[in-house]
Amino acid sequence: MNRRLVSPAARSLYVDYIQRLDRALSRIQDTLVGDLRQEFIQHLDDLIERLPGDELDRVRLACIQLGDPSVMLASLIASDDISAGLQGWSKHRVVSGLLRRAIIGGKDGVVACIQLASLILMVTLVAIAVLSPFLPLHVGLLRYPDGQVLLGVSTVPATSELLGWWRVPIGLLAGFIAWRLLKRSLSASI
Amino acid sequence: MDRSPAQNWETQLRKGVLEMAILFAMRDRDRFAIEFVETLRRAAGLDVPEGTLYPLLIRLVKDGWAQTYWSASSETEPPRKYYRITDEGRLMLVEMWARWSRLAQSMRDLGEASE
Repeated sequence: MNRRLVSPAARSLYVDYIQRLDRALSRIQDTLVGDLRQEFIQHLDDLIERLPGDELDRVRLACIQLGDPSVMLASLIASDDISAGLQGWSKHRVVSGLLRRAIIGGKDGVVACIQLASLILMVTLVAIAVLSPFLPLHVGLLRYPDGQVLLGVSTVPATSELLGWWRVPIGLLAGFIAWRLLKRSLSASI
Repeated sequence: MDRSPAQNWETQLRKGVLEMAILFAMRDRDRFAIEFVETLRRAAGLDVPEGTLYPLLIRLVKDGWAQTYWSASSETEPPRKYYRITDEGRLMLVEMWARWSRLAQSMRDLGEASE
């Protein structure tokens, strides 16, 4: 905590920034958190000391320059979400991490979009295998009266399903392979 | 203000060399985060927002190209987290520089040949 700030307005701005930083850091379970908090606060203090202007201006400019903590930490939070999701088989954390990366954009964002598409494909394949005994004309390689063929899950019943019971082993095997490939790609991107 | 396509291209190019620039900044002496921002801006004209710098520094540490330590505090200086290039990082920097130089030379040759 910067003890040299005397203006109440500057102190309030400073404290607000630290609180936002703490909220952002609470999303990360990485062992780096303690380190990062101290490092960011030191960085903020350094900026306040080096920038021109009165105390309030310096704190305001330093907070702007360091950026919104949740945005600044977005890629770290995304990596942490994916890492925790992989360890605990928690798909919603993996999806949350990938969405976060996709929003950040850049090369990692493109990779995240591809990984998200692979995840949707994997879930679809497994859903086809699991649901086929219960909804035989709603899942699989479905043919409709107008000749249209659809692979996946549909609320509209098809006239026929083209894979038959092969969809169970094919769905499970393809889903498993897709998950293995996705897991390898996610582990490499953390 | 709208940026020209050439400026956007230059921004992407600069982002691509940030890792190498940070390793260069660490080569001569250990540095703390704000020093990277200042050094890269002053010496290379590279504007590195903190939101880009920290994930990069963490990745360099995770890849084993840099390591960190905290300096002891003194009466004038608070404790700071310093980044130090590792031997592996130095080897990587040599490799990056060689590849960068080859690429730059190829572009120069291509540019001169087409003039």
